[in-house]
Amino acid sequence: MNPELKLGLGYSKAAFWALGILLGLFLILPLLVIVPTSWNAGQLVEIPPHGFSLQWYEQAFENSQWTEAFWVSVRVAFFGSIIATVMGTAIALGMRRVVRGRGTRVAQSLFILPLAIPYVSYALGLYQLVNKLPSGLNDTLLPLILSESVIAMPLVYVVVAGALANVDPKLGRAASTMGARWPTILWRIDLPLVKIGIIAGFIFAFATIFDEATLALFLAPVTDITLAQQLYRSAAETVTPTLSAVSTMITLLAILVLGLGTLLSRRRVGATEGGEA
Amino acid sequence: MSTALSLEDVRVILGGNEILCGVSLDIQPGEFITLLGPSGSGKTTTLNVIAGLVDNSGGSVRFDGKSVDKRPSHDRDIGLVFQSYALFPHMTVGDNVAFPLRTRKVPKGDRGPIVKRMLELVQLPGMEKRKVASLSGGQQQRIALARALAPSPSVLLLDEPMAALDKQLRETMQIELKRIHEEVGVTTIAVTHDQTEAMTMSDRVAIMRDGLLEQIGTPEELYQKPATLFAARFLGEANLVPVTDGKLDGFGCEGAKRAGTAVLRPEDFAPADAGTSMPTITVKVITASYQGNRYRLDVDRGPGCEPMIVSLPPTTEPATIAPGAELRLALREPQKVHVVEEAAASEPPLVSSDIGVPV
Repeated sequence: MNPELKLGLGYSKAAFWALGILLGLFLILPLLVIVPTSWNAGQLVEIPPHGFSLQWYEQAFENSQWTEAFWVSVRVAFFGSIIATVMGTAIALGMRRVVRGRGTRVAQSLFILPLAIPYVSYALGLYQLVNKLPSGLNDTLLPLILSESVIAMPLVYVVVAGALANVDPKLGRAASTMGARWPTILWRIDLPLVKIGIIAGFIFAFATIFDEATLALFLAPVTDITLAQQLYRSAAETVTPTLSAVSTMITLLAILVLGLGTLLSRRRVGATEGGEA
Repeated sequence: MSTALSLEDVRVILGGNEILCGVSLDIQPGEFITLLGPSGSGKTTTLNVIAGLVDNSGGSVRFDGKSVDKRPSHDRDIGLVFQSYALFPHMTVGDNVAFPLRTRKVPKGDRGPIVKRMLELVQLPGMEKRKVASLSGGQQQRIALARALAPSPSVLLLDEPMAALDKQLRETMQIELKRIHEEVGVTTIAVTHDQTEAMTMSDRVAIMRDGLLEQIGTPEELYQKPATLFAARFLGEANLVPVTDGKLDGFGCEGAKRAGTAVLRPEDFAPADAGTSMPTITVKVITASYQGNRYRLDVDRGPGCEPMIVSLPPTTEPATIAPGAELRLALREPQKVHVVEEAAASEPPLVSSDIGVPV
């Protein structure tokens, strides 16, 4: 808490602390329940767990339903975030070259719009569209990958545009006076300077797509279901500690991946600050 | 390898405003020209037109007689040092200097020796592997210069190259730049608002004002024979004394012209001897400040007249120039007094912030 705020609050800061802790608990409690139940040695989801065993993890790894769903999610997330990264980066780079005006502001809002549209309505619309496609196409993961890439694109765009804002526009002009054409400027100046932003954007996109459930529910082919769908289906049947084990692993993965992304975006800021005189 | 450069009636209109209103300038191969002027006078725009970063809406820019108006900046074979240096922060010093060589498809094996030579030229040998961020401002400036010079460009352009340096470093770099220019011999155009810098570095100085060239000449010409009152005031300290009916007001001596304004520099005065035959004027000291190499006096020469600035030798007896003291000053060389055919009142005083403040 910053010192001014601390002083200004006086005794009422106790209320802030209480609210903060309450919110924190609300976010963390589900994890506190899920994680211990995943190493239960007994047969049921129970708190506190009986003993310690990794049998549910084993089961999750041995059950092809889970491993297949995991790889479907990985595939969708990987290709989806690649497309999102290419689009988001291209838009961020392009918007920088456009002269600022009302048009650009409208365009900027449009590029971020996918974040605001309710996924359900977007999914429903796409569902009807995909149904009209020939079966060779609508049976594949392609519709899902494309639509996931659209909702992840704004994340990349925002991160890369933020990274670009730290790049001195004079660098490009300087390169041009040194004989560089635009592909060289893009390849040797702009892209290397926002490289870490692009990687961070890719990671955020990957994490978002990986456990996205709404679009997957509508658009994944019957034969290839994602991990999120698989979790939902299993939970609808019976709640077993396998679910806890899978959720724990996803959570760990997410913390790892997002932690990496955050670390990278921090480094990016540090790196560009030092470079400009 | 030196290139002649000429601007012919160059005009630039940006956002409906005429920034350059017809600038013509001929620069000899290997010459060092400085564009000097207050902010907004169009000097940086002129530089950017030469660099191809700003399009001219009229007139033409010629390198060795050939128009380059249609050539984008990457085809002009120039080197430009930005005010902020614009070094690439993600590259080492060596890669920065090698960048223009890379874009010109200089074979990889040849780049290393050129980079090495350039770093020696700017007196930072062996810095190839250093990170740009680890360099001081002065070092970054030298690297920017090495990078601009590496491909042996036809024209070297310097945009306020010293503005970000502190005063002492700036003076060192001015001499350094002059040395490098003499060594390399490339046609060079610099932009500055610092008159000392302009006079130190350049073969000729072009004074700019409101998108037009006011006067161009050697530093000596500009200082001794300013063509306009603006030029007189912009370069050095000037006392503007009206000349009416061929007489220099207050001195009672003949002026070179019937009417106009005489430009008297502070060092044109000397304390008058008792029986001097030189024209004299009696003034009252307002302030006297000791500046090491001289006393700078602000003196009052009578009601309705602007105060004058006078330089006296540092050996002057302080008591004789105390504030309020009366002083009789003689003009050293009345026959050489330079008169501009402009009335003093027609020229509004320079805003002091126009000089010496980085923009």
